[in-house]
Amino acid sequence: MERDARRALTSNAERALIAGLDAVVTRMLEEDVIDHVLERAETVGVAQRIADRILDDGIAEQIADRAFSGPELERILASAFRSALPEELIAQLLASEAVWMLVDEIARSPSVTEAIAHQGNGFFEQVAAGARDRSRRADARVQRIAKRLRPLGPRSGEDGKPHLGGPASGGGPA
Amino acid sequence: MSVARQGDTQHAQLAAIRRLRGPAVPVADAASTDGGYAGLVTRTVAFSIDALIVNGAAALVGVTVGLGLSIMHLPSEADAVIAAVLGGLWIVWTVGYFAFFWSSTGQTPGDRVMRIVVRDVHERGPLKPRRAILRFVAVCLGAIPLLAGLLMMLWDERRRCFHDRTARTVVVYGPGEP
Repeated sequence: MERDARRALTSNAERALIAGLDAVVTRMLEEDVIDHVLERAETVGVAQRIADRILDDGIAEQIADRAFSGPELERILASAFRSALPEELIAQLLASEAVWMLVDEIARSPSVTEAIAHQGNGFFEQVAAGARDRSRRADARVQRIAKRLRPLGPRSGEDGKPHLGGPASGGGPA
Repeated sequence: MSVARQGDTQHAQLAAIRRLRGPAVPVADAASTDGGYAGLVTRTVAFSIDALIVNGAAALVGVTVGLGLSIMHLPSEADAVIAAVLGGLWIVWTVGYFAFFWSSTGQTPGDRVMRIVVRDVHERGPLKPRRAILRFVAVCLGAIPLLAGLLMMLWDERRRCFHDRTARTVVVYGPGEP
């Protein structure tokens, strides 16, 4: 009997407390108390202090570490890629004139044009160097064959080395 | 006394040799003459590149002119005259191309790709314009008897063709070649 009376009393007290809190919150909302509190907090710089504290104490790093090491970020990214967001983002980027101006600016920048030209020249030079090597080897081969075909046999000084002009080298017109 | 005379004789001989050899070779030219005489294949490839450039440019101009003329209604006699004029221009362009490069740097674009240089035998530099034209004429003449004038380089100790002998030139591997 006593236990039932105590339970009923507790229940009534809880209800009264909740109703009181409800009334307080309702009154706060009606009288823009929260707005006043937030304005006050902004004036004092509470948000800045909180942000400073989070950054100074390394809480931000801990949050970032946790986010990057956990599977949550992967799930969020996977779900973002599955959604229409990437297509929408790309479509908006392509429609933006600023992006094309940026691309144009990059393409016209001296360093980029120089890099492209350098790459083109490098490729051409590589091809030409290969052709030169092969032709030099072919020169030597053809020369050897020609020497073999020669009825009198090779003469001295047929090494293909230059000795330009002058009486000492035996040069001059044939 | 006799020693002094011997010294004078040596000086005179050296001076004569210097005169005959011409001016001193610049460093770059001296380096370019160390690589050896250019062979048949290298020279053929270089000439093919030049032929491609010369004839490609000529074909481009020919097609452009032909398209332009096709719009106009010209008499049939005019076609022959235009063809003759264009043919003459092609010859001038071809001769001018080779003569210009041989007489300026000694390297046509094809030669530059293959790193070979045409040198005057005596002066060791680029040719004089007249000699360059003579060389080109000799190239054509040497090619007529089944390319014999070109193939003779295979049996020449300095790998000279008919036109090299005629214009007194040699073709050597250029700077940077082993």
